[in-house]
Amino acid sequence: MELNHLVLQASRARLFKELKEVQREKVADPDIQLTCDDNNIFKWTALIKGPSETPFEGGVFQLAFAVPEQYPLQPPQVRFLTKIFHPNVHFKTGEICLDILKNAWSPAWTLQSVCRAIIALMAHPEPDSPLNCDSGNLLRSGDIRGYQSMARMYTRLAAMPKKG
Amino acid sequence: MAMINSAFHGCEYSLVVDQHNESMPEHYKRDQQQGHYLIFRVDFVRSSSAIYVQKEYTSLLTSSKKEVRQDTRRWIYQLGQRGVTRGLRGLPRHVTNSLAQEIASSALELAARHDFAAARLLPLYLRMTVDDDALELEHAMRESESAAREIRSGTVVSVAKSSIEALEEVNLKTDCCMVCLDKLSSRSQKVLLRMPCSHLYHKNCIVRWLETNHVCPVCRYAMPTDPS
Repeated sequence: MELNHLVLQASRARLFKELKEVQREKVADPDIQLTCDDNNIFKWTALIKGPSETPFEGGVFQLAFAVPEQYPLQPPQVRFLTKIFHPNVHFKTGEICLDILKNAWSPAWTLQSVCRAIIALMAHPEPDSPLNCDSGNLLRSGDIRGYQSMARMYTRLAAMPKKG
Repeated sequence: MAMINSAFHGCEYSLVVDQHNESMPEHYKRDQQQGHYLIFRVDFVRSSSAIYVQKEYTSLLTSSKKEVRQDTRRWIYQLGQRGVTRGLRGLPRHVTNSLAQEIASSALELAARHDFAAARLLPLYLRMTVDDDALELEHAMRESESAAREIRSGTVVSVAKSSIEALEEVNLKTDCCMVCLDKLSSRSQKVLLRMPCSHLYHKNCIVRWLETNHVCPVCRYAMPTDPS
């Protein structure tokens, strides 16, 4: 019990540090808007801008973070709340296949830098470890155009403000 | 016989009661202080260059060994300052002190044997012979010793400036432990651990991480794992 308490205290202290840093950095990174649940420091959401020159450009994607009590020794669980057509994101659940969120996790990552990594993943998909097979197959078969038009369509449908 | 011979660090001296010089010099008579005096008449001889110095100095005998020693030391020091005693000047302070102490004890020993009832004055004749060779040898040994010290400590050859600039700085006040994001100089975490890759962490933080992992959080340097 005592150990549990200490672990909780450590993760809480670290998350408060990240929150302070995020509030300070708000202006510095206009592509990421990271906020913490008012009542629960272990629940965060992020709004990230789709990177330019990708089919996600112009879209704003919402991410949900569930931070474990063992954080930062264990990675946060992150998923897309906004629908996205991407080989490494599960189309239904929004689950993300990204090595740093699994076995390549390190405490040196922060929620903010995880957001940056996800933005980088959006620009550089890894079709060889797909969670969305349809999307992955399009890329693997070399149908870049097909992939881009599907991804752009879903960006317009789910990640852009409705017109009118 | 009232005579003492001694050899000390290349200095040989003999000290005797000078029976033929018992009259009080004029300038000592003017001294208001009552008490018994030691008067040293000193012949200073250097064996090799035959420099010969005559000098006198007095010391009030208050049966305080310390005062006589201080007077003697002052005298030796003055001789050194005038450049008369090249060898003595080069002697380290503790040797000069010991020499002064030796001479002072010899003087007091003589004074104790002497009957002061008749006179307030004990004239002493001190003849010091400095063995230049022995002093030179000691000098040379001291110098080579300090040169060896300099070489050992590496102060003789300086490093290239670019090498200094290339060294990695660690600022405990601003650099953070990348596990807890707290400053390395933390009030609650006093001990740091340096990984083989040279990255620093609070001990508690990195140990907790390494209990379930084997790579450096910053650079992923892989620590050896148990074969099991």
